Amino acid sequence: MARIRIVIVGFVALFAAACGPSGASTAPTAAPATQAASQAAVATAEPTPDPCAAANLDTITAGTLTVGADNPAYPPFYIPDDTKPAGSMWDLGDPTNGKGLESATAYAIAQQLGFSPDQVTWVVAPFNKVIQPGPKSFDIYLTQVSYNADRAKVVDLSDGYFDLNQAVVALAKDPISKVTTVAGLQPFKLGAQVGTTSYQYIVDQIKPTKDPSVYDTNDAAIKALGAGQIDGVVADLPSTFYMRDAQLTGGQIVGSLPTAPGQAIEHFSVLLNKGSSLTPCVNGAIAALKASGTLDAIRTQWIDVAGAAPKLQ
Amino acid sequence: MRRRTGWIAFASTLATFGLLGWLIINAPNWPAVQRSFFNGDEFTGALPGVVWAFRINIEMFLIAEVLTLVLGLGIAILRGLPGPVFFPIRLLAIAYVDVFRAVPGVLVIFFLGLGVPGLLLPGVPSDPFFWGIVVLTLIYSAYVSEVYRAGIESIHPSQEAAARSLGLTRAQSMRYVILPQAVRRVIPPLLNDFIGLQKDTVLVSFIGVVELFRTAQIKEAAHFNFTPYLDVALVFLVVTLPLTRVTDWLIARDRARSSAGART
Repeated sequence: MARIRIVIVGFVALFAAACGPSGASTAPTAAPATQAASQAAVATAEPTPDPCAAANLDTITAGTLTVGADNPAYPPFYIPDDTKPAGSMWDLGDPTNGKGLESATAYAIAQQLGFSPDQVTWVVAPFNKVIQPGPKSFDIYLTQVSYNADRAKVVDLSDGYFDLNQAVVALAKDPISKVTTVAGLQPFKLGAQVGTTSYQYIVDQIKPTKDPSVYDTNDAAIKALGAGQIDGVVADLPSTFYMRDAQLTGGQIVGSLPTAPGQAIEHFSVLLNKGSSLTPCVNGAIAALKASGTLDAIRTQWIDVAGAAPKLQ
Repeated sequence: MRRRTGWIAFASTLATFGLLGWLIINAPNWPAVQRSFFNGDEFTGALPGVVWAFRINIEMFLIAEVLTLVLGLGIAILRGLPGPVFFPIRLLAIAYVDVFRAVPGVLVIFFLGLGVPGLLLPGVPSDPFFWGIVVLTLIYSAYVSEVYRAGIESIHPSQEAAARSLGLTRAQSMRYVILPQAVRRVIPPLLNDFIGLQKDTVLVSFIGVVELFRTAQIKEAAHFNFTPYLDVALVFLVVTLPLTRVTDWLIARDRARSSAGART
């Protein structure tokens, strides 16, 4: 018995040591530094060798930009060709064809950095692999990652390449489809995908009277909607269009949700390894693509075609 | 003598875990791993929510455990029915156990928890909590029935023969002679399955219930930090460890009583 007790004490000590204060030695805030570097890089590009030129970038494979995305890659962010290329590992959308908001954005960023389309390779990167500490299998990652400050402590998150609102999708035959205000959503049972800002929006902004349900994927949430277990699914607006058009029969977008009061509009960021030397360059590329209207054009081509949704007040 | 053994154990434990700890803490990427998996702020931040969400798991496994004990015993008895007349019943019991032990729980929960309500049959509940209990009961009854069966078969046939010769019917000898001995023997493996069942309550998160695992996962995704899972592990340990010790003690007491006087 005495032995066991000693062993337990050992475990507790180990645990306490592991959980001890971590901040001081290891968490210098890198964000302002990289942003400053980004501006410096843009301003002083001419005289010194451009650190953001493709040849000078410290990518995983020299001369190649490796882009990560989750699989399946969902429309309208990744859109498949009519016939799936033989041997393609991608389901639903195909990142390699340049179609869809994020595929097009990734190729635009690559081009801005000086990579030709055939110098871009894609890897599958599941969400949990993406956020775990340690080396990454990609240089940049685009799969609807919403920015927040806590996440930016763990990985680098670029400036936004796409601003968005959340929206509610439901079945047209259900009473929830007549709702016109955010407050009107309160009596309903809502669902969202885990790891999304959609769930946070439900809890913080809608504050429904029934506990929201949370699913691993939007697909499971859609199934629950069809099974009558929930009244509506909250997701980013482009995704709700895809759900309505491709995943639901009799689906309807109840409306898009306003940006939370006092907060900046939500945006998707490119995700990079913490402290990646590419981050300032990607930010520079995004700024240039914004200025040239390229990002607007991509948005028009892949997102706005779905039409507009009523706005909930 | 005892004292010396204690010190050797202490020194050996210290050396082993000291070395392990040293290896981990000196790993090249330990600071990042520590921030992501052993983050003190994240741990305390997630704890109240995780503990509060655990009430859903507790409710679920308490109900499912009672149902499992009953259904599992029923299946074990059906499977043991003798004679050719009961062959179809034995067949059904065997098929039931084979299927629910073989199919991963996640699949059962998707099929029953999302699929059956999706039929929109009138009168069929759609509540995922209800389906979670149904699925846990179905799966663990299969395991538990095998545990019961092993217990029943471990009782020597002479016991039944003796009971029958005293004039007890087959059912009576099962109820008063065989089962009391059999159940006592299988308490440790039953507890094994209960611990499994308790952990598998997290499966219900797949059909939307925000229980403790999902609560931790929501926090993980919000901060890109895995530490909340440590909270989950701790909660399960806190529940499971005392249960294990109490059962060990019960078994030891029972053994001492049944072998009173005899040295084992």
